[in-house]
Amino acid sequence: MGNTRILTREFEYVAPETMPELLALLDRHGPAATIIAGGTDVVPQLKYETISPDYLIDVTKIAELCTVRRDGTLHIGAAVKLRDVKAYCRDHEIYACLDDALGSIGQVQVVNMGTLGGNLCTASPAADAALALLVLEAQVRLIGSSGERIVALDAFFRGPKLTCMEPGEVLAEIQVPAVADHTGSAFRKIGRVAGDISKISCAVAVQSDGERCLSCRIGMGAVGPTPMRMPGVEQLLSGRAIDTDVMDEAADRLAADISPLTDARSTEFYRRRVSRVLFKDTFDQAWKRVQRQP
Amino acid sequence: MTTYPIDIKVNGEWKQAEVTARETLLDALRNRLRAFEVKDGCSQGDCGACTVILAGRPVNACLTLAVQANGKEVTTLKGVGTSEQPDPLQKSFVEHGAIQCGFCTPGVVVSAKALLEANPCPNREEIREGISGNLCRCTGYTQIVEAIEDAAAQGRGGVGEREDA
Ligand SMILES: Cc1cc2nc3c(=O)[nH]c(=O)nc-3n(C[C@H](O)[C@H](O)[C@H](O)COP(=O)(O)OP(=O)(O)OC[C@H]3O[C@@H](n4cnc5c(N)ncnc54)[C@H](O)[C@@H]3O)c2cc1C
Ligand code: FES
Ligand code: FES
Repeated sequence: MGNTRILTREFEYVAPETMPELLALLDRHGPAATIIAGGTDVVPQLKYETISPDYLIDVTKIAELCTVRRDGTLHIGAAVKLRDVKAYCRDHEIYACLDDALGSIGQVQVVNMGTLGGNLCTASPAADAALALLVLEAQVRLIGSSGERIVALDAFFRGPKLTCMEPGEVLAEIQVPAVADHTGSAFRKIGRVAGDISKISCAVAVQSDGERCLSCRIGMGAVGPTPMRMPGVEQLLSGRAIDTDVMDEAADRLAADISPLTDARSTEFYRRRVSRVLFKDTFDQAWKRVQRQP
Repeated sequence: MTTYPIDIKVNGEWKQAEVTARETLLDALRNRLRAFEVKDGCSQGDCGACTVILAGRPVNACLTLAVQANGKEVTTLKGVGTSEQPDPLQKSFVEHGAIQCGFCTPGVVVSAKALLEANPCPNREEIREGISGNLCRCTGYTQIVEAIEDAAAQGRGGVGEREDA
């Protein structure tokens, strides 16, 4: 690892207070500008010199990016701190998997600084909140000077560190649709030590009538280029009564469908083997949460 | 080279500095405001040695830009208590042998203080979570957790009296 003590390059810092000002700045500076929110990914990147902007544009002073509201759909501003999202989820059990995911980020300081928008825009295959939002079928609202669009989260991620955002676009808010009745969700991850960045992560949202899985969404993290939905496994489980044989079959399918790599955090072999177990445990927890509901 | 005037309230006192955008809050606190109690460990968010309370919440000063702290309140270890007037929490660290080499201590104490302010009676689990962003390579954490537990108990008039300085 290179230097972490100093930021070697000079750049300018701007903190616009309104969306129009922000969009104008992004248009004016083009690729010379980088957005900073909580800075927990951007500042290390500046230190390692993996990015070298001339302008750093802070989005955290824009009031509309910092609010949470709910009208059936939950709207979370991109610059809302992970800590505030976590506090919200604690009070609303329907977002249990997002609560689990935020609770799995070890460092209090990082949760205090980091934002939900930053966790998505970083586009890490191991981003925890991103995986939970994927199974909650979240959408993102992107705004650019030429208009805005809404994109489903699984179309937002394009690869490691790559999203569908065009130059000049900003992530404004994350929209979590209302969760159907009799749905339970959970998130689990395996790291080197508790609270570490994921070697493998899994999120599940399942709707059940007590015996059968009516429908489910399954997401796996750090086992492919982006946080991934597992449509093959989802279809396999839909409409089936859940027992150990069905779960074994689903776990086999899951291990076949993921595309893990060997990297600094883990090996392909380990990830494929352990994904089966992690998936079963996560599914089980989501399942238990549905059964607990009135 | 553009510089930015910043005002930060450090341990209750407003301070001014002229910083460049590429200075972290850690750089500004140590190099410009001589707050050497804030330690530089890993400089990348892993160890927590640089922890300060910014606008009421513990953060890593090494990942915060100084310009982002403009207009905000910062509490460092010396804002928790000094050698002359230690906080009961600091006394508890000494009494429990929760300090060995001491390098992590400023960060751990600041995190623990923020925890106790938000939650005066934390259980063990909550204490461990509160200091989860602070690495200590010496103590094995047991004494640290006990020191915080004991300070919390004193704060609510439990074991021993709180000695308010
Ligand atoms: C010690 C440490 C531990 C960590 N542990 C975890 C972990 O366990 N799990 C995990 O998921 N993550 C972890 N992270 C990663 C990181 O903290 C999170 O991804 C966090 O949510 C990033 O948010 P941020 O606001 O700090 O992002 P920033 O660093 O501010 O930004 C991240 C990226 O998103 C872009 N961006 C930010 N906001 C917007 C926006 N509104 N529109 C367009 N682009 C935007 C930035 O340009 C940048 O490319 C860890 C980081 C550190 C330093
Ligand atoms: S020096 Fe900031 S976290 Fe290690
Ligand atoms: S006392 Fe030495 S690192 Fe904690």
